[in-house]
Amino acid sequence: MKLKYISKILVAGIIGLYSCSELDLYPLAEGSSENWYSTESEVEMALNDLYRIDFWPNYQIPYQDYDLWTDDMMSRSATTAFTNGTLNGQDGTVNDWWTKTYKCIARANTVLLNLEKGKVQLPQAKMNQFEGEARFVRAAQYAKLITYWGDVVYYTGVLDLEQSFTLAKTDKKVILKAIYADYDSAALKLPTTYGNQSLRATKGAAYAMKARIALFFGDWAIARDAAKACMDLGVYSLASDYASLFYSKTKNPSELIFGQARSTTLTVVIPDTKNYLTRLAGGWGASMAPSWYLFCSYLCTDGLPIDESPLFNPREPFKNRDPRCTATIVEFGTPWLGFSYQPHPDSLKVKNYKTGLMVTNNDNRANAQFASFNGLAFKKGIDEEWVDDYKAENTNFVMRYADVLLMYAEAKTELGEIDQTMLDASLNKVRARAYKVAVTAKTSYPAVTSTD
Amino acid sequence: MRKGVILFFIFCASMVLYAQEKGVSGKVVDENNEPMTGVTIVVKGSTTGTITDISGVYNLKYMPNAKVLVFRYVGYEEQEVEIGDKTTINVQLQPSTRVLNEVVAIGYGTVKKSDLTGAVATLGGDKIANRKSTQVSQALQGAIPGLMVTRNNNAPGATATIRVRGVTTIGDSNPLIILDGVPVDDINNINANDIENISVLKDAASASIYGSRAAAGVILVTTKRAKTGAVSLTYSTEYGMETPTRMAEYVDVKRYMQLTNELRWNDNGNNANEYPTYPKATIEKYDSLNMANPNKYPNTDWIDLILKKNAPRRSHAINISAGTQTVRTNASIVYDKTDGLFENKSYERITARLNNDFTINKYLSATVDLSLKRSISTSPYHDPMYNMLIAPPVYAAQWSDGRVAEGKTGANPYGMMKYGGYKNGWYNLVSGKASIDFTPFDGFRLSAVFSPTLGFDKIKEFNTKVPYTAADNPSLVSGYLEGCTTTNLWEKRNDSYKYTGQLLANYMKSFGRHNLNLMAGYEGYYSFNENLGASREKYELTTYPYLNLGPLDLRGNSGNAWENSYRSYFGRVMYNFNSRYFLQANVRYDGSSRFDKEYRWGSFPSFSGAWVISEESFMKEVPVISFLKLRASWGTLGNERIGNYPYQSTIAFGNTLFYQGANTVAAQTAAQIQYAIRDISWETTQSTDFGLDLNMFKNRLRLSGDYYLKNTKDMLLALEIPDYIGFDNPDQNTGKMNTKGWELEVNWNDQLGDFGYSVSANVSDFQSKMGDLGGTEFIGDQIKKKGSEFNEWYGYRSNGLFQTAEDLAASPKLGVNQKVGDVKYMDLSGPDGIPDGKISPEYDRELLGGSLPRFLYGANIKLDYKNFDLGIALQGVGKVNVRKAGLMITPLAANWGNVPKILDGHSWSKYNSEAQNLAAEYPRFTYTNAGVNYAMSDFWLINGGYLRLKNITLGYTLPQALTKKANIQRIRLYASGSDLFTIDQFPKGWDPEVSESGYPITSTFLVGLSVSF
Repeated sequence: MKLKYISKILVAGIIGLYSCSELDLYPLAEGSSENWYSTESEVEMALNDLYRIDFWPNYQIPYQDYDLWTDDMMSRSATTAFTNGTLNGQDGTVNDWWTKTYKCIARANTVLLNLEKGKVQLPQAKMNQFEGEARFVRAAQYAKLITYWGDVVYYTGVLDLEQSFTLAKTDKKVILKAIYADYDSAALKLPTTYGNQSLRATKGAAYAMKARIALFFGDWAIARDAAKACMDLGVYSLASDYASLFYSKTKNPSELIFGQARSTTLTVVIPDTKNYLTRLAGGWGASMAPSWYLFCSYLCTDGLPIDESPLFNPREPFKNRDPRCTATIVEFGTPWLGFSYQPHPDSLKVKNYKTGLMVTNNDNRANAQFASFNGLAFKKGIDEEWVDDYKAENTNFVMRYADVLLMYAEAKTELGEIDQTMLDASLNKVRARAYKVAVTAKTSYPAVTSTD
Repeated sequence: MRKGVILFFIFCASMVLYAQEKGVSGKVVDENNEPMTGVTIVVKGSTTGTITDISGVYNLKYMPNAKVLVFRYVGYEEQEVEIGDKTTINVQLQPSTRVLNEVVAIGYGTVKKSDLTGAVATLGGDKIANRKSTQVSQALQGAIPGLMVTRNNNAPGATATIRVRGVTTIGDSNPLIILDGVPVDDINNINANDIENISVLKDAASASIYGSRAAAGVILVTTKRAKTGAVSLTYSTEYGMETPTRMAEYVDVKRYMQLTNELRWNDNGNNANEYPTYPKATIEKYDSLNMANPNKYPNTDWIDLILKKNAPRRSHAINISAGTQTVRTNASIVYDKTDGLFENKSYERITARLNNDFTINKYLSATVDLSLKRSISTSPYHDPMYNMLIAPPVYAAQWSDGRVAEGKTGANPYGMMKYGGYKNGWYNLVSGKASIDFTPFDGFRLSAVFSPTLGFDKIKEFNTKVPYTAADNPSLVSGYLEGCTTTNLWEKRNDSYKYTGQLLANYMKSFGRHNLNLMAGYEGYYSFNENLGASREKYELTTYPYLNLGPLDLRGNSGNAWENSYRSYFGRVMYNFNSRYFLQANVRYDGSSRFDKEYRWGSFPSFSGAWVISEESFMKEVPVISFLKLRASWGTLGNERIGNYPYQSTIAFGNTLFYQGANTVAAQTAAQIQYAIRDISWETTQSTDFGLDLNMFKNRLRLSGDYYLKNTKDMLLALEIPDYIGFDNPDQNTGKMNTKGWELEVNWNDQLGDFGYSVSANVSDFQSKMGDLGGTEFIGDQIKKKGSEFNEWYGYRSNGLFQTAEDLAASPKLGVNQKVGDVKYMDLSGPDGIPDGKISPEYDRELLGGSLPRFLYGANIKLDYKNFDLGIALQGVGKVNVRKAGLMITPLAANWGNVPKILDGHSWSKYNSEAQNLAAEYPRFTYTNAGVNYAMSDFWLINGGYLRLKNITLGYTLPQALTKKANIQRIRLYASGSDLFTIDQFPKGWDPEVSESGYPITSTFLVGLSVSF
């Protein structure tokens, strides 16, 4: 009797023990790809991923270290593999761009494939928008690949492992055609604006990006038409003030065609702002500094380069220069983030504008070993928000309207179609904006009047 | 305990003396009637005695009151003979069965040590506790042959890495830890004082009962249990000090400035300005400048400022044990605390364990165990070690009035450590185990076991802002220390639970000389983990580390969860004929949630046999051999520790930001990150072992040796796939590797009168070679590729330094910046397979030798004399290729750091004579060409082998005459030192085990007291 009783308990125990280890376990904090892309919000989330800033490194100073690869910028601690001429496939940046770009393409392809399969029922307008977005992203990513690598592996759809080992490079001209087709389709399907909704890829972005890749490959007519189409939309305009356009506090300016938002509260920031800041502003003495090449390349107010212009005075190199020069590089002796910026070694004390007192000038190398090595410091895009916590949230500009205007002017010039009206509608418009005057006030800025 | 008994007898003997008229003499022989030399004979209750001579004869003088003689010999049963009125007492001693009858824990059961067929090493709990390290993993270093235990720091609470018989997989090589039959995550959660013994299952035959999870070896830990009829209470306490074994030394302030100038001058092309950074006058007058203005001309001794001379540690332990026929309880509570060598660094731990055994009736018995662990670790938010080591004296840590100074523009390790906040963690673990044993008839036992483990961790990371003010103006904030610009709080809560259920059936039966032992079982395991994190940033105040006090607009949070489970069926057959021929077979059938349904199950068999030659009649003729056994085994083991859902293509979530008008909003993103291969399955390791156990000289000498081969195939690797596929590399079953090794252990113990001693030593070696890895190479300073060792060094061959411009011009160079005084590399090959006159990474690097230690050894010496006991433990590594790197040899690390003292006077320099340069050990000072000089090459490899005195302990047990009066059983006082010295070839100031900028390895000195009632 007793034995039977005990046996029953044991049997119950066995069942209890057995059921505590179910083997069919699925991720708890992740989704399953098997049945994804079957609702509107799932597709939208997949598309959202393509807008992450990781996939859109930009090339404008001073927020990306990639500018170190150009002669616009220098780092005092190291040269780059690019400037050294030792760049190869092992380079971190090269690897990073390559893998991220293809990741973005694979994800865009996955969305397109699933939309094609008709897994999700959507209103036609939404369907168009989603397809347009995916095509836009794919085109932009392939454009990046053929710009930097030339011939690359091209595919649409989703690869399986076996298949992936059999692929060969495709001629960049062939890829370029496919890119145009994607942009055209995107331009057709994407809305012009999103009103109060999130700013995603637009018709204008597709035109503008198409113009950029066409211009790069010398397809002037295509570039011209695409840029013109973007201009004709009439939804973009130049910001009135060049300097503040790039500030951290400037949000979604009318000049922005495509780009990404940053936000300190939402933790997408430019880290390491100290690299760009002067010592008195709490930074590392412009360890990333504008180069003298960049400094010298700004024209004088007469429209001539410094070696030709009588207005250029080497003792006062900031005087009589295009306003974009002092908007980009801190002028010596001017207030900068609360202090007077003066790298000259004889200025041992400078003014602290917050207290009105003179303080030790750590922005020159007489006082501080690691002040700016070439005396220059970046100003563009840097505002007070950079120094409160050394994080900044400047917009990641991928495409601005000013670029579209300049691309239009360049394409037209290459085609020999430029005339004064067109110049005034494009290049001069951008230049006049820098001088904060009307394009017609041709005496107030060095308007371009030559068309040869 | 045993020692206690002996001492007790000796003590009693000295108290009571009886009279006897005549002396006693006689002869002592062994079981074969051979005379026994060196047998101890004492009068019971006294310390008086003698030993037998070479022919086994003894003579004992007349002693009043002597009543009983005790005959003792190591490895033999003790015998007592009443004297009465005898004058001749001849004795035959019988071999002790204790040595051979020692019971060893094996998977899901125990076996007599003499019956083992696989390679199993055991270690008594006292040997672990005697090492006096807080963590069990550290105490195992050098204690067991075939166990590679490595550590790289000795921070409070630091643990060590354990490898059983080398490395068998590229993935996770941590052994499986089984505590009282139940898998646990970490051996360090067990208190050394609670351990009865440890068994290490080294070969497949012994480990394959744990099949799928045993590829990296299994360590079985058995905790102490109470015995029937015993009652005791023991209190022990220890107090000690830890101090770094060695500290790296750096040059003084003037040399720093001179050498900085030299480096910059070198990098400026040795132009006219030999003082590019520090003017000559400044250097020459630095002492007086420093006296006049220490703020502008500091001379900071960073190490002295940050590191304390020593850090205290203490522990208290209470152990109570009581047993009756029906209930037996063993309870312990232990408290340990170790302080760190710098501020805010400490480790504190409380462990409690309650082991209960119940006998219900003749059919039923049960055990209920409960254990609890709480550890608290504190660290500064910014670990000071790296910056402390590199910071040169020319930067100030504090202004002369005590305010925190700028350091090197905010890099002030002292200020960052002291004011920059903390990272504290509270880790709690509660576990229990209940088992019911049901014995319906003799020899058959059915057991059901259930064991839950619950973990709760709390982590608080509070990074506070530290402004520094100008030297001359206390009210002007001139910046913030590095990483201390805002005050932020991160809170983390981790929650986990693990359930193990087991059902075991065991049947033992002897049929004449045939002995059979059968076991079958089922085990289910489930583990669940969930993490939660929350943060706020930019706190106004630095004194309230709670979330509700932070700003609302900078809130962050995170969460994650995962689970995994196993189901296993297993069985074992053990058979022996007359304790002479042994055969054993195991099989385990395992299913893991980490694989797809179709590929989830794997079976892992093993077979082993042993032949006890000494049981054969022909061997009985060889008296010198007490025991001789040959063993052989073969089996397979599995591994699948590669993330929890590797076969499933999962969607990972994230966020992206969009503009909505002038607002910025976050939108959720979803993407498949990894390419998933659905048919991945178990990685398997086949292992073959040959072993020999030999006991000689009446079991006083014990010797055990093993040779083994391990082959791993279908290794789970994240194999490189084309990047353009757009996914991260998936885990695949590919890759092979093999490991060969051997191990040897020798023990000797003996007793000479009052003097008892034992010596044991072990040595082991292994070499792991990579097979075909599916074509993938993992390049870095170390490599794993077909034909290489596991993590073999890979780099250039060097040929000294460039000494002359002619040599430089005529030699192949690495890059364009090589100058005289740089490392000269050898041109090994080129694109056409012959030297091409250039040094290039593609063609001129080769395998430079393994990076894993070879010939690991350890030794234990134990001496007892009357009330004194002395234990010595040694440990070492015969040979290991170590790279001198980083802080050890880099001048101006991070372009502002100090210069290691070992470089000064030993580096190539323009200021040196030719002879001095020829003798230079290190290249010239340069920053621009540092990458070339410090590239991986054999120039930087040294033999990192070492011999270390792990521990020495001297104990004294108070005479019981004194303690008995206070009703105390035993009082023992002891002093112990750990990691006292090493013999090695490391550069001055560097411990062979320390990592570059890690917490130092420390020597520990402690005194302890143990009182038993």
